[in-house]
This record gives sequence, structure tokens and C-alpha cells, in this order.
Amino acid sequence: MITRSEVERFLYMEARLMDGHAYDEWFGLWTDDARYWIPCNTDDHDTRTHVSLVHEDHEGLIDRIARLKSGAAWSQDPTSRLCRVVSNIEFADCEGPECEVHSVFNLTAVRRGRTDIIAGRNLHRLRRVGDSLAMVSKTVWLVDNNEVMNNLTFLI
Amino acid sequence: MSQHPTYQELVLEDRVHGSIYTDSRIFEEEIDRIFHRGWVYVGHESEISGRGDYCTRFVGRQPVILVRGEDDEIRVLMNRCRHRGAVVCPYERGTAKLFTCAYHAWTYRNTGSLLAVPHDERYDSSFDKADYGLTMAPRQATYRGFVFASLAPEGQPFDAYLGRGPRRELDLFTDLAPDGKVLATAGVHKYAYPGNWKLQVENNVDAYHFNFVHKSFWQIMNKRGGVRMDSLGTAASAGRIRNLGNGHVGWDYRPLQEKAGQRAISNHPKTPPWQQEYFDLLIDVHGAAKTAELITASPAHVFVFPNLALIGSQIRVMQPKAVNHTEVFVYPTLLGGAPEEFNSRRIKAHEAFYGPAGGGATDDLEIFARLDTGLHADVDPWVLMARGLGKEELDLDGFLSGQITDELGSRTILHHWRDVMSGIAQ
Repeated sequence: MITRSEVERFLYMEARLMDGHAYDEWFGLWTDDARYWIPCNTDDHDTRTHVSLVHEDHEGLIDRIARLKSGAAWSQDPTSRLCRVVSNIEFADCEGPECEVHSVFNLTAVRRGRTDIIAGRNLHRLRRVGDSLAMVSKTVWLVDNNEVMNNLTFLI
Repeated sequence: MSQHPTYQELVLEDRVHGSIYTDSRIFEEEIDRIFHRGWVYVGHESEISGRGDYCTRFVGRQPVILVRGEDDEIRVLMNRCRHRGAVVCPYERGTAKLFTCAYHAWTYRNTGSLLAVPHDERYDSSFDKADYGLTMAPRQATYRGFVFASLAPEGQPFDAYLGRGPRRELDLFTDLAPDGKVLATAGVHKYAYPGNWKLQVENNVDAYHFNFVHKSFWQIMNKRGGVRMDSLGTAASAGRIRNLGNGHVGWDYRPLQEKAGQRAISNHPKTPPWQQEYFDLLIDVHGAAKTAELITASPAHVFVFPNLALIGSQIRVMQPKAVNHTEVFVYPTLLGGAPEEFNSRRIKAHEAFYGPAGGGATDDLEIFARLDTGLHADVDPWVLMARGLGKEELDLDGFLSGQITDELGSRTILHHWRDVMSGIAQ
């Protein structure tokens, strides 16, 4: 059984960890069979024949986090200041051990005098693991995924 | 505009004046002389494989349509209605029989000819639709699927512009596809940075920065792959950088990986099956000797003046927008005829480094932004490109060659740039 209030608490916590660049804590939310996908140019494509913005499994996530923590990721030196709103959560309590949740986010990213607004839709697949929830997959459909983009090296 | 220094004064043998990256008057001249007169890369044939397929691009500031007409001819058409000047195609890509201007519905065939003008009886009787087709780019040329255009009706012939050095790199890039067809159909990473276009241009062939800017990346790759990814960018590296003429620059990997080709054709036990399968397909097409030669030289790594680079699996296009604003379009390519797993790994390897969320190119962009800020401190305005100067050698192919971390790339590009800007070269 996964309840709506549990899901809401999870998504807000994830947003707070991402905003705070809490890389290890965010990584800790993922299951070993993780899939993190941000499509590029269009909202749906074959990841084998079309490039993604991010398409990572657990190993890829380990590399992403290690890089961000390396002290040599210049695109996050200084880090972006982030604040995002997660809303429009579409979810009804579910009986099974896994559930899918649709939501939207609106993220303000400020770095070196520049403010970017980044928005998109999320699809989380969450799994009951003991007392808590974990992320099995996360797909992010950015509204600007076919635009010329600026720095997206923080957690989205 | 008083006492505008000459380009000879701004670009010396071993250094350049920082204003070539920050002065908006120079930028305007670059757009005019380099992008609106010289040869510029527009797109790849594989992006418009069917009749009526098109994509829209910019040559300098000028919008164009790269389109394959009903007659199967590829054309670079100016994206501007001959009536009032609106773009006739507002989309990035697609397939169309006709381009209709939304303003007064002047309608053109995908070959560019003007098909219909609504209520044309009110024009003078001498008005002839045959005179008002979409304007063709004055010159266009294609080599191995790479389409270039020049907006000047006259000038350096295409063959003289591209030269044998870049041609060989375009050959290598294309011949690595078992069926001889590179496919730029795998999407595009698009990003921008607040800095001059030449910063990315020079960086394309700068091996010196790799170990420092991309430390966060290669440290991880070294751990994962058990390879010393940072060995390329040291003074001990056997890799070479070459002046290919006309501002074009290539890397030569052959001295670095002499055994790679032999290994590819000898069923080495450490070669994973998906890769051996690919090598075997190449051997079927080219034979073992040529395959070994191709693999030893691969991947392609070349900058083609002024706006194209082939780097590994990608086609990279630099698009200047303002003196301090540049867009970069990076198209990872698939190799036609290669195994599915080979191509999907090619995409995945690209993703890890490139794109606005990638672990490599984003750090380059950060450096370009720091350059743009730093270059405005012009008490001492000079930027050095002296590394390896005087140590170049003529290589066996007849090109001036330096050790791969030498700044021969910047010198080649900027000395040619100086000559084009001052009217000595085209």
C-alpha cells in the first residue's frame, strides 16, 4: 500500500535534496535497477537510436554523482542556486508495491547573475522498500528539450 | 572607430590581441567576410533522405532551407519570401511539397520555384512567376554527404577550399560506416554560451585543456575503463596536430594507436563481440588492410573552417549569434550498416560527455564564459598561442605537424582568420 500523502512527502523531499545539491542523499533514493531519463528534442524516442539529455542506469548515476562531487566540475563551480515547486501531483492510493506518479515542476536556477526558468513534467515510478519509498525510474519531459539550452548540470 | 588596428597588428605569430574575441565591430566584419562570403557548412544529406525532406539553418545571420526537392536534387534556398520577405518555412525540419508564406500565401514548390501568387491579376502584365522563385544560395557543394554553401556568387572554388586534408577526414568519418553512410538522424544537443564563437572553434582542436577542464570526467572513465584517458593530453603523447591549410586543423591519432588496426582485424580475445562484429563488417567491405588503416586512424577529429568539426562520432556546428553569444549544435551520428548494439553504445558514450546535462562539454562552456569575462581585462591584452611554435615538422603526408598539445591549432585557425579578415585569403 502506497498512500498519496507518502508520495507527496517523497516528491517534496526529493525536490529539497536536488535544490540543496545533496548528491549522496538524492542518490540514496534510487533502487539498483534505476533508470533516469530526460529525452532530447522530443518527448518520446528510442534511446538506442536517438540521443537523450540524460539516460542513465544505476552505474551512470554513480558516475554523475562522483563527477559533481569531484571538485573539478567547473560548470557547478560555483553551484547554481535552485528553488523548485513540485505540483499537480496525479496519484490515488495504490495497493501494490510499486506505483507511478505524474507531477510537474517549475525550477528557478540562478548562477552568476543569470536566472533560468526550467519547467517540465515528471513521471516517477516509486517502490515500497521497507518503511520508505525508493525511485525505480524517473522521466523528465522538459518543455524546452528542443531549445538551445544553458547549464543543466544540477539535479533535475 | 578611431585608429582601428589592422588585423596584422591583432594577430601575431605567437599571440593574438584579446579584442578579436570581444570587439563587436570585428564580429560584424567576421559575419560579413567569413560567414556571408566564404564556404560554410550547412547540413548533412542524411538529414533530408526523402524527397521533400527539409531542415532550416542559418548561414551566418541568413536563414536558409536545406531541402531535397521532388526532383531529388538537394538545394540550399534562402528562407525568405520573394514578396515581402517573411520566412516561408518557420519549422526546424519536416517534409513538404510546398512552402507557403503565411503573409499573402505566395506558394513555392520544394524545388524553390514559385507555384502560385493569389490574385496575381493586379500585378503588371510583365510580372512573371518564373522570376520569383526562392533565391538559391549563390554557391553550394557537397562532399561525402556534407553540404556547404557560400553566399558569394564568386570566390574560392569549393575544391580549393576544402583541400585534401579535410577531405581525408570526411572520408575517414564516412568510411567507418560499413555501408558507407553516416546518419545524422540521432537528434541534436543544442547549447549556448556567453562568449565568442572562436573560443569553441579553437577548443575543438585543443588537446592541452583536456586533462584540466575534463578532470572530473576522465578520472571516472579511467576508473571504469582501466584506460589512461588523460594520456592523450600530455607532452609525452605521440598524437599529432596538423595544419591542413585554409584554417582547417586535424588531429592524427595514428602514431598513438599503431596496434589498434592490427588488433581489429585479428579477432583479439579482448575485443567485445559487438565491436568485433562491427570490425568484421568493415573487413567485408574494405578488406583487412584498409580496415586496419581506418581503425588506426580513427576516430576522425578535424575542424573545418569556419563552423564545422567532426569529433569522434559527432558533427559539431558553431553558430555565432553575437560577439559574446554562440550556439553549438552537436549531432551524434550513427554508422549505417553497423550492428545495433554498436550504434546504441555510440549514442550512450556521446551522452555521457556532451549535451547541456553531460559531464564534459558543459565544463568547456563554463571555461568559455570565464574567458569572455577575463578577456575584458585588457591592460595586457595579449593571448598566447606560442606552445610548440618553431617545433613543427612536415609530416609524411606533407602537412605541418606538431605534438598534439601544441597550439598549432589556434595558430592555423587565427592566422587564416587574419588573412581572410584582411582580404589576403578567402
